[in-house]
Amino acid sequence: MSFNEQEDARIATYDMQCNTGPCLMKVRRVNGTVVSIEGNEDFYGRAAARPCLKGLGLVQKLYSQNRVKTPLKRTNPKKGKDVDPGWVAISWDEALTTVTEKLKEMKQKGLTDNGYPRVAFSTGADGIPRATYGTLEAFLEAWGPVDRELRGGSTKCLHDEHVLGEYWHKAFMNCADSPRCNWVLSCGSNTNASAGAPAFMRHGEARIRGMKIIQVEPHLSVTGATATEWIPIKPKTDAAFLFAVMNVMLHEMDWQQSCDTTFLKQMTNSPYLVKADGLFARDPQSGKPLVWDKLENRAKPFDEGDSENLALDGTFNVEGNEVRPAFQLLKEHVKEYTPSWASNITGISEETIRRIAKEFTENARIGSEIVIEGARMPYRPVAIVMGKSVNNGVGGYEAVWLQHVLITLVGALEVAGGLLGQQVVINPTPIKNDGDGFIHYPVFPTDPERWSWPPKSRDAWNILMPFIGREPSASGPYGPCHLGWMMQKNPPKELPPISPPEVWFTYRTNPVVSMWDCGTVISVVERIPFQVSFGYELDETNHFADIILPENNDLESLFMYPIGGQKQWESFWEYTGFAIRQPVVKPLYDTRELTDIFTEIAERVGFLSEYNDAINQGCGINSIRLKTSVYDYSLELSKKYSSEEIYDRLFRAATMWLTDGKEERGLEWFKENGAFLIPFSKVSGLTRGNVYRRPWFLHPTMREKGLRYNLPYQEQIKRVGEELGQRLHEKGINWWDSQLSEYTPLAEWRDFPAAYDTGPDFDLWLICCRSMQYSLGANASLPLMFEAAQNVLGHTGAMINSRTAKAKGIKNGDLIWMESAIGRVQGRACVREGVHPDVVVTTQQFGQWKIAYAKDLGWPCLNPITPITLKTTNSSGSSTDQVKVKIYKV
Amino acid sequence: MKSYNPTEFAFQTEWVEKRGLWLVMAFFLGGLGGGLYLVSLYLNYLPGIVTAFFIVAVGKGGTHLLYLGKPLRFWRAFLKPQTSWISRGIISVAGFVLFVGLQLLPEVPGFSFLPWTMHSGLIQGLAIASAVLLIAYTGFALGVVNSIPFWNTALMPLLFIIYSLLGGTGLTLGLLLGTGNTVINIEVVEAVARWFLLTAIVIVGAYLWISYHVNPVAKYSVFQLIKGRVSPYFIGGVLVLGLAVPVTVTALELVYNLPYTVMLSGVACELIGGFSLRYTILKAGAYTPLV
Amino acid sequence: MPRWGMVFDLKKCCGCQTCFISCKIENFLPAGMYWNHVYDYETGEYPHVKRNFLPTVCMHCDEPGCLEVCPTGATIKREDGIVYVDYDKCIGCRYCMMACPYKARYFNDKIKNYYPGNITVYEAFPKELRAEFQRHEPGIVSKCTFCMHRVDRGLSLNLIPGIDPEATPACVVNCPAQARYFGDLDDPESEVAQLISKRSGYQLQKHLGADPSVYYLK
Repeated sequence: MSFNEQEDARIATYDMQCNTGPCLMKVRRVNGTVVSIEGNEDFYGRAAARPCLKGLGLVQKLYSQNRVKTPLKRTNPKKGKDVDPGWVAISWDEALTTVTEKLKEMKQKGLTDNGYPRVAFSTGADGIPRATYGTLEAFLEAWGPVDRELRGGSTKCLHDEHVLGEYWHKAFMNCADSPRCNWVLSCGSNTNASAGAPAFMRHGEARIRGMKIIQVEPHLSVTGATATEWIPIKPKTDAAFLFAVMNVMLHEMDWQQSCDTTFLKQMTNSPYLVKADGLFARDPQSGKPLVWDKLENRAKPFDEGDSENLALDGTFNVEGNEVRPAFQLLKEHVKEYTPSWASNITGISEETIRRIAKEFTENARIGSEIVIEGARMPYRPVAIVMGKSVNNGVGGYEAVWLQHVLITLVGALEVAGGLLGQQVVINPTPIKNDGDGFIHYPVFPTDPERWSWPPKSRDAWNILMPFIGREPSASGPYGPCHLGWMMQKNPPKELPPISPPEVWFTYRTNPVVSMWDCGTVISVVERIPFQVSFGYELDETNHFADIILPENNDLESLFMYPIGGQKQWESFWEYTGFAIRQPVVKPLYDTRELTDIFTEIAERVGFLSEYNDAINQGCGINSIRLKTSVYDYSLELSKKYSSEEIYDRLFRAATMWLTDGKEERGLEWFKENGAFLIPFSKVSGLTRGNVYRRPWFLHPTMREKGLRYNLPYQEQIKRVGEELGQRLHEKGINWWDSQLSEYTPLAEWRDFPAAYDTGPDFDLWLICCRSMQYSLGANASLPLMFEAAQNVLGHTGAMINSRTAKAKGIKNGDLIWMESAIGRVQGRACVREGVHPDVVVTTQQFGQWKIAYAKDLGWPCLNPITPITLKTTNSSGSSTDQVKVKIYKV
Repeated sequence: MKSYNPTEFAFQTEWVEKRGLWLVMAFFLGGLGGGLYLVSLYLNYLPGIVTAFFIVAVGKGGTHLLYLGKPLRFWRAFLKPQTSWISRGIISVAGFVLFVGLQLLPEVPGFSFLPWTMHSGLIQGLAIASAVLLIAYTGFALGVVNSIPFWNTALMPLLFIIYSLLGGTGLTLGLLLGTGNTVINIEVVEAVARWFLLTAIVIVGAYLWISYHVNPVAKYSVFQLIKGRVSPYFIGGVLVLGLAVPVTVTALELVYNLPYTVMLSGVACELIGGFSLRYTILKAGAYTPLV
Repeated sequence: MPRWGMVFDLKKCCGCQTCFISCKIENFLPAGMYWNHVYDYETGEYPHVKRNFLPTVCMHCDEPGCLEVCPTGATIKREDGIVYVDYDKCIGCRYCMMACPYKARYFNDKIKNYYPGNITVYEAFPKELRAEFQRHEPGIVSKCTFCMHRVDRGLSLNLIPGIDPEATPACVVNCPAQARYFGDLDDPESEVAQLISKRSGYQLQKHLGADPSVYYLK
């Protein structure tokens, strides 16, 4: 690549350092030096937001003096936190030869060992690497079985929301319809830290429009700052609060008024009749679930006739069986969850709970309608959204269920103004009926013949979590990755013997500090015989590597990624398409393009044709196939292609795919223009072949297909849970029983906070909040980011309520210990008002001891003192960044 | 562990911390030199005038240069006397050095041929004008800053003038006592010092009272002097050493004939008080909160 | 002649600090030097607490206190209202910092690199290719210039500051929340003037009489 020596160029590329990107940008390059970055206004507002400070900070990330500048080889065979790896610089040839020999050895030994893959490949940061990792998926597909579960990240994304959201409404994530919503109940959803630049824009506009946000969370976050009201709540009690809101709606108010009965009858399983055994009463001929028609005074299949006269309450008799509509069961179920009961648990007053229930139902505007793109649909401008610690870990299923049931009670799911889903990841195929009138979802079978046994990875997700669905690539972000570490340290005897992987690749992940109980993680990592890390800088995880392969930086490398449409969180883009990430400068050091590294290894190990074939099949690279009936850009299987050649074909295929064969754009066009867009329908989304991109509003599709949301009654969850329990017990596995108990048709309150109890000494909760400036950015070593973070209230310390601090004799700025049952960490006290007196708050994820600059900051991190335990793990395999502690001055 | 809170009072730092201490010293020495000159001139006390010359030329000028970010560009500060009190101040320093220098030059051995004397009208007039400007400008420089309410008062120039004269008188007295003077009537100097001390007490009291009552930010600054982080310097330096000790010494002197060492100690305390006054006023200067 | 001004919409600002970084990158600000702030602070007592964000830059006052007190004429106010510092004239007396009620000025005691012992290619970007006020040197006072290099270049290309990104201050262009606006305060049709008028825009510390060119919307 040659650059004009007297230039002042603006190069279009993208930034993706959090899930809500990519943010399209133009990088200003003067005489070969990157001097500034701005949003690409050609696309701003249509398919992308302006990049945030992480994007602008790429200037420093590119020129950082801490980068790994050449392949490195470990010379000290001993591994340990305090052991000097003895790095020496080596050539790419030597590095790749070493890796190749190891992989060949694995091929010879067999790809699995007791069913566990010998090769593990870990990626990090909530799947952000998807926007950067080139042909990784094709590489792994061509290789064969790979364990992808040894990751970090502790609180993983919005776990239950991902799994259940896709199950219930094809929504990997959900958020308020902020362009139209008027009232949002946010249980700890830290949008201003987590939802990226699109959310800053959408929420800003919404606040101007008058949208109210009620922020319920233990500490007043940056999102609470822009909310209308902050309601402090005790950790892990959100479900109790929401149960009480529901109780008020169904028992204190007239439910026929507070609920959208039309929606409940037409769009949910509320009228489905449930037998005493907890299963749906079904039509003997068709097997379809039955409903009760009040006019005809008989039970009939759910899809027969219109829904207007269906019974929501009452008790009926069907062929000698007493049956009740699901809604009736729900009503009875929540009767005990009164505001007075919830007030004791949550610390929120009864009066406030009643007021919230009233505001929620009043703002829902039940009965109103709106027309969007010609589709008439309900207009329900209310939503309930949730943060990570709410929908992860014990209580996660219950909270997400409550969120969705409350929303359906007022008819606000997937309609204008209400709670909308974004993106489909686990099951991104067009919507179809599962036979019971709900969206089909590929639950893993739990019957004796088809249940998945033995474990395919070291966290055993395939045997434990039938609702995670599709494999393999989606399993990465959704498996219970903390169990992978736990099970290697203390292998359950019921599972085939577990040993560490023999070859472990890490890419943009740092589990040694980002997973809980870092000591356990290190004890496992030390035992892995051969570790290859793709490295940007020396970090805590590649400290244990045998080879470090430095890849090109974000501004030096090439990739293609989808943009626009209803992507994650507050996207609401009216266009969709693909964008390019292109080299803005020549690689500064002896680094390489990631795709070229994979191609080279595939060729050397001898699976180039399988690798090329996987690329042709669209494996992982945005599912774009290089050959369809419309076009053919496929790679010759035996030929080695450069990354530029591969991406030229991918861009051509992607544009042809997007336009149904009408338009073709190659690499050079993308380099010049940055992105290619087509209009995106708000009501029908985009379907091309078997690939589905969901619209903003699912309601029109649901109506068109005659579908309902599988809410509130969870018959399938109950069935699957019972079956799964039988399978596990047959194998002698009893340690998953607590998780199995969550498989209830109507979620129940249990004492979730008690799961964290470690005795009366540990009187405070140590919880965390997300750093907008750092999260997912892998930028802890940038001094520039530190400068910005210092401006954020409490970012650098341990935040404590002023009364708690006073009671403990702690002053602002004091160095304090935070001690849990398994260890203690230090931090500087930041005494604030906006913190619940029962909690201490730190900002995740820090605690680095190797990454340059960050290691000297002394920012507290709860990971080292948070145990990896089944006690706080829920049925979908998640847990939370929370631990009980005592605090005292150093 | 908190980022800056724009509702809270924030202190200025550039004019008092780190290299800012040189500026405090410059303010003090400028006032001291100017005051010493005026008192000495009044008494026709040549060693005082000579000392004043060096205090201003070397002490004040030197510390000011040490303070500046770009000392070699100091000449640029002559350019804006129409609006800037710093500019006026540096002109006063230059004027002082020039005209007092000219005044003194005929006294230097070998320069008696010059056609003027120390008391020639025009030169002496210009020297006096420079000295008055010199002892006044710091007070004006602070007094016009409306972003720092504690400084933003008409009393500020008066306060700095009186402290300059007080310091000048004290130092004159010290020089007289220290050099075994036989020419000047020390009792006159002591009487002047007593009056300046009383005036200073009244003005300091008035300044604090007014500041306390006119503006919440200024009140906060006063609070800093009396009870807050600056109070050790203010109470110890300004009130006790700078006022109480000299008042006690000079009162006792009315009755008893105190030894020189006690008198000299009183003078030293007074000078410490003068420095402390500048230091504490600068240190307690808080900006009006942004919101 | 326009009077350039900025409007901050406090309802939109979410405290992300992108403007802070944007300013630093755009203007080659060395480590530890800041022209652009977003203050993040609390008011009230638990549980009745409010957390707030307050963005600030140089207010480019119509009656700038800093201008009057500057002893060298280094602080200059242009006809279009932009107040800037001529680095060649500043002697580092910091009187302007006393006179500025908005904490908008920064004294460069020394120029620090981000990576001690190393200077990055970006930091070493040739001074002759930078705008004058981006040529940082120790011992002088500097501050936000409303990115006047962008404004001036934009005007020379017949672009409209506040509308065309290339002619608009970097922090405004890069604000992901669109909480910042730039334009001609004297043009009643401009977006800034309209916002001020429709949403009762206000200035900070108006009673001090400096008549800032930065307005806030609640």
